[in-house]
Amino acid sequence: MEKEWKKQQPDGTITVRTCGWSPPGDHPVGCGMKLHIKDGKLVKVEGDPEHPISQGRLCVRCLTLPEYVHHPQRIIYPMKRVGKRGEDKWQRISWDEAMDIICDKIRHYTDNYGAESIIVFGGTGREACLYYYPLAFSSIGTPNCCYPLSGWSCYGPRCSITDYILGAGYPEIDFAGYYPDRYDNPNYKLPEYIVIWGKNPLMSNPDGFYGHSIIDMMKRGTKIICVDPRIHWLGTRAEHVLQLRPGTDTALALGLLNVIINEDLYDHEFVEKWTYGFEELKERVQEYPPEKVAEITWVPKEQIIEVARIIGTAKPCPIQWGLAVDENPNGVQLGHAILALIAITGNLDVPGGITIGPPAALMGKWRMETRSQLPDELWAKRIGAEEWPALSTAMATTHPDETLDTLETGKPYKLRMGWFNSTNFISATCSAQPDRWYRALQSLEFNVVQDTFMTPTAMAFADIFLPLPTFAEHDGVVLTHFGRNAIFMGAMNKAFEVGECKSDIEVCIELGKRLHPEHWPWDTAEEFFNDQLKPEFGFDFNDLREKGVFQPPYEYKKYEKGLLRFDGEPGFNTVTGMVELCSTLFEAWGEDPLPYYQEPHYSPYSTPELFKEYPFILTTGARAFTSFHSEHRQVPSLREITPDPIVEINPEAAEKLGIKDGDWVYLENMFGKCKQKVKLTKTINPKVVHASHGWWYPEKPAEEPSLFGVWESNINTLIPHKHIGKLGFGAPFKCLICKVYKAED
Amino acid sequence: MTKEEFLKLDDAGKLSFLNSEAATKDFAQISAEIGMTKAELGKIGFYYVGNKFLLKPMKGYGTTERSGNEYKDRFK
Ligand code: SF4
Repeated sequence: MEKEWKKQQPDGTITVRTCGWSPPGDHPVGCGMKLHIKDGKLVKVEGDPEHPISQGRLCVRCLTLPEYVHHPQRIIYPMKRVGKRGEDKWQRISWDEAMDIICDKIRHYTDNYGAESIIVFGGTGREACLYYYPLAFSSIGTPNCCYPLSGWSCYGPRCSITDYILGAGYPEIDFAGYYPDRYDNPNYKLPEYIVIWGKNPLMSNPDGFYGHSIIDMMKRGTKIICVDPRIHWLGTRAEHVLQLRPGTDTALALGLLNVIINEDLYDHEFVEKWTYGFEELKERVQEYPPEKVAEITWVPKEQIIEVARIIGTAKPCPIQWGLAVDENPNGVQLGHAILALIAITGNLDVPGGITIGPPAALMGKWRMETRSQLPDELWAKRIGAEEWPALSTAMATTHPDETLDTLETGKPYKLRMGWFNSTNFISATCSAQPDRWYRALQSLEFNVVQDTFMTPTAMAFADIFLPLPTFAEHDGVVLTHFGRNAIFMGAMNKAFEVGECKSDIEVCIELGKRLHPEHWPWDTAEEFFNDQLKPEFGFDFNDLREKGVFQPPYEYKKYEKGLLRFDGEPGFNTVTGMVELCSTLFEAWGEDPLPYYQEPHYSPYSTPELFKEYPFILTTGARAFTSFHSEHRQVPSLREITPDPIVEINPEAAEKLGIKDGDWVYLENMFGKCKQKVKLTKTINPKVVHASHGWWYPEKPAEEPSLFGVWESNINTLIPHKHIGKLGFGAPFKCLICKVYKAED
Repeated sequence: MTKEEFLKLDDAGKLSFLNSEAATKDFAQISAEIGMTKAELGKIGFYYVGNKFLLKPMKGYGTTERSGNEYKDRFK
C-alpha cells in the first residue's frame, strides 16, 4: 500500500486512509477506506482498492458514515444529569468536571464498600472489547467486568471451547488473509467446499472475517453448504442447505460424525497421531444414526448422509461456525462436535482449511493481563467465578447470569456503581430479559455511560454521559479476532474531530492516571500503541499507518512443528497434548466429556403442552446490512432501507392466522411479548419464525416510560434468564417457542 | 507436604508430586494433605480425572497470575 496515508487534495479536501474496525460507526471487520474531509467535516467515504482484504468494497454502514458522525442528535460533549433518572434533563460539563465527579465516586465506593461494588458493563464485538477489561481492572481497580448476555452467548463460548479442546486461538476458515497476493499465493489451497454453520458472514463480517471473501472463493470454484434454519442469500447459491429445526445443531453434528466414522471417511493418520478419545467418540456417535438425527433435526436422512460424505472427502473442507454455537444451551457440545468434525477430516491448520491462532494472542492479551494488577483476594470476589469454574477460567469477566442475580439480591454483596461502556443492553442486544435487567439496574447508585447517542440505556441510567468518537475520529489498531487469530492488522487513523469526544483508550489513560498512575505510564494513545506494537513486531504505530495493513506470516500444521505448545514439543496446548475428542476438562468440571444432544428447554418435544399454546419455534439474532445490533437506528439512509423490525414467517403459516405481508403482529411467550412487522418468506419453515433484535426508536419520546420505545419491539423480553448449559455458556436465543397474532393497536 | 511447600514447587514438580500421591491415595486424602480444594487446584491448572492429575497448560483466568498464554511467555 502507498506510504502516504493522509493527503491534501487540490480543492482543499483532506483524504485519510483508514481501516474501519469497530463501532461506533461501523462494524468489526477492518475494511479499508478513504475518508474525505472538507472544512473539518466528513463529506464522503469510499473503499480503498489497495486494501488487500476488502479491495475497495464497502457496505452501506460505512458509506453513510457522514450522516452518522454529523447527526444532529449525536452527543459530542460530556454531560451530567440534572433531572431525575429517566428525565431528559442534562447539562454540558467539561471533561475535567466529569472526571472529578467520577473519580470522587470511585474513591468513595472503593473506600467504603470495596472496589468490587463497582461494575463495568461492556457491549459486543467492538474495539472497546480490548479496553473495557483494563478500564475495570487497571483504571478503576474492580474485578467485575461484565458482558451481560445470558450464558456469554456471543463469541466467548467459541473461544472457550477452542481453548478447552484445541488449546489454541480462534479457528477461522482460511481465506488467504495472511497473504498480500491472497488466493494466488502458492502456499494457499482453495477450499473445495465450505460449510457455513449458523452464520451469515456477508452480513455479519465477524471479528475480522471479511464476509465477501466467501464470494471471492465461490467465484474461483469453492462450493457452499449452509446449515441454517433460514435460507439466506448464500444458501440460495449453495449446493446444500441443511435447514434444521432451530437448536438441534448438536444432533446434526453428531449424525455427520456418525456417517464419517462408520463409513471410514476420516483421516486415520491425523486421528492416530493427534487426537485423544477417538474410540470413545466413535462409541458415542453410534447413538446418533442418520434416521434418528433426521427425526430430531427435520433434515432428511439422505441429505445428512450426502453432506457427511462431502465433508469426509472434499479437500479441503473447512467449517465456519457462528452464533448457532453460542446461543444455545447445548452449544458447548455443538462446538466440541464441530471441532471434532474439522479435526478428524484433516482440515485443521492446513491450507484452505481451518486456521488456528497461536495460544498466545498477539497484542490483545494485554487486556487480560491487567488483572494481575489486582490482589488475589479481590480477584476472588469476581461475581460467579466460584460457581462457574469453566467459564471463569476461559473468560476474565463475571458470569452474566450471576451478575443479574447479584443485582437483584445484593448477594454476595451489593453493587453500587455501574460503568456502561457503549452498551445499550436494555434494548434487545446483549441481555436476556432486559426488562428484568432494567428493574435490577435501578439499584445502582451512580452510573457513567460512554456512547455516541442518547440510548434507552443511557436515558434510564446515566448520571454522567461521556461522548465517544466514531472509528473515524480516533487512532486505533485493527486486531482481527482480538489477537486470537491475527489474520491482519490495520491502522485506524483519526481523520477529524467532532466536539470533545474521547476514545476508550484515551479515557482509560486519563482515568487511570488519576486513580492508578503506576499502571498507566503512557500519556497518549499513540504512546500506548507504540509500546504494544514495537516489542512484538518491531514497528511502531506510525510505521503501521504507513504500511496501512500488516499481514503477519502464517505457519500451517503448527502442531507438527512445536509451535502450539509452550514447551516447544509437537502437539496441542491441551491437557493431553492432543485434540481432545473426549475432553478431560469437561469431566473435571462435572460435564460429560463427550458431545451429546440435549433437546431445547422449550420445544414441540420437550414441552408439548406449552407448544400447543405457543406453536412456533422462535429464533432471533440474525444480522442486517443496515445496523450493528442496536446501533444506526437514527441514520436516515439506513432507516429508509430498514424502517421496521421484521419478523419472518412462512406464508403457509401466516395464512392460517389471517396474517398478511406488512402486518404488525405480536410475538408472545411465557416470558414476554413484543411487536414486529411481518415479512412473508418461503425461506423459513412454516413452524419457525425469525424475529429481529436490537430495535428501539430514536424518534419516539426519550423519557420514561417510553425510553425511545425500547419495550415495543424488544424480542429479548421473550428470552429467559439462566437457561444455560452446565458449564455456564449458551442461552436459548435461537431455540424458544412463541405464538404470533395480529396487532390490532 | 504443606500447602505452602506445594505451592513453592514449579508446575512439573507439582504434577509429579500429585501423581505420586495419587498412586496410593484418593483425591480426598490428597486434598486434605495439602489443604487445597478441587476448586483451588483447578484455579492453578490442576485437574483430577480418572485417578490421576492433569495440568492445563493454558491456565486461564482463575487467579491473577499470568495465565501462561501471554504472547511474551510463548515467544520468550
Ligand atoms: S463490513 Fe461494512 S460496516 Fe463493517 S467495516 Fe466493512 S464497510 Fe464498514
